[in-house]
Amino acid sequence: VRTELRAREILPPTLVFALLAVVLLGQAAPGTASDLLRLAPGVLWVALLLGSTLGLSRTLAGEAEGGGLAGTLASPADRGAIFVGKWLASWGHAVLVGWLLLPVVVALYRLNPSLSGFLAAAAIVALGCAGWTAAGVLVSGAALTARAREMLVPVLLYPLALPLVLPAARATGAVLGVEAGFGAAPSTSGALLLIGAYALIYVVLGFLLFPFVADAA
Amino acid sequence: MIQEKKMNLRPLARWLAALSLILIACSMYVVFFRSPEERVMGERIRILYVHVGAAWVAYLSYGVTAFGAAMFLARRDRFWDRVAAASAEWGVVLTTITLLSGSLWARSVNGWWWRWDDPRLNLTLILWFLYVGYLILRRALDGEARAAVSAVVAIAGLPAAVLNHFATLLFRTYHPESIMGRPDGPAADDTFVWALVLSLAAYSALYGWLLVERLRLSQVRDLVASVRAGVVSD
Repeated sequence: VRTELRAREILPPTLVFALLAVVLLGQAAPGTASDLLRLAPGVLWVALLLGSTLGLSRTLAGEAEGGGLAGTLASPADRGAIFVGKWLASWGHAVLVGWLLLPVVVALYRLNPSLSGFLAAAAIVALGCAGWTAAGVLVSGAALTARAREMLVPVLLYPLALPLVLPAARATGAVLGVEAGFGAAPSTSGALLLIGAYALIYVVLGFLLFPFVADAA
Repeated sequence: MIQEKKMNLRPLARWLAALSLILIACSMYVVFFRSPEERVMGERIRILYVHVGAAWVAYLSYGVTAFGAAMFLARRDRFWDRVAAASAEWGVVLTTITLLSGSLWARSVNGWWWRWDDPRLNLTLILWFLYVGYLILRRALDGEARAAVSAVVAIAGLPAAVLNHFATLLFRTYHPESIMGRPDGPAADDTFVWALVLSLAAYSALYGWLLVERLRLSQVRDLVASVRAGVVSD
């Protein structure tokens, strides 16, 4: 029940924030339809990454303020297991937001994907969010004891988004039928490999390093 | 509990100071008086001696920061936390020099300040953000938590930098080919190579010296703080 309450607290603002990002970027972009089309995959990912940061910085902070975190950490539960729990919950939230965002971007930016392309994009969203939320839970845990942690989480987390946003936007664009990008030939399998490696590395790293962060909290 | 092995760093600092001053003098001489103008770049080749040296030590210093962080988590020895922090501080300075000198060079030779399709430009930029975030985090933390938490963040940044490099390499590629790293030997005149090697050596020695001095400063600072705390509590 508590998790569900938290979800209700986190999901609506995250979703609205991400939608606003989609609208703002669309408004700021040069107007022709083909420009918007090429921009769309990047817009989806930027909005999703920025939006999910709101929830990520809340996952641990909310519990810490309520005093629940001290209880969780005092329990004999393995610290790595606590990380996995937090990560799965954040992943679920982010994927949900991403899946709600995807049709909106498709409609507003006039994409015209096939059904299989749309489903593939949804799968890429899920895969990309796996690594991103793992990094996010680790970093928001690190910022937990810091002063001004709301400001620290984005500063620490967005550099980690740099290696994700390029292959993610590239792969999403490819399956949605957008010839996005610069120069070099598109390589969707390479992009998927990078997104998968990112997810694997940050889940393992989070599992191994989160205990140090939890001990310091 | 965090502990610390006491080390006297003064003799090391002296040797490194002497070595870096000699190497800097030699490298300045070769760079400005011996190295000829390059065929295409002309005088602007000299910017590269500053740029390549700074970039090499900037990458090195991030490696040292991550290594120091990992050693701290394994050993719980304050010394390694100091190494990580000191290296990150010089890393920010060197990364800034790398970005600015590279940008200036590219503008003067190619007519642009920045390109999004260059893996090494992007690697340097992401390193800059990682270093700066790490230092901001350290300022926002106190006491026992600072060393452990900032160590985690330093390690977490490393795969991002590596993956970012591969991502740009995969999709966008532009950087002047490495002069030194070609399989059939360096593609440049001996004088250029010597000037470059000397400037790399000078930068490395200078980095080592400044790192040790920064370590000593942070030891003294903590000593002063603990003495002060002792006075207050008495």
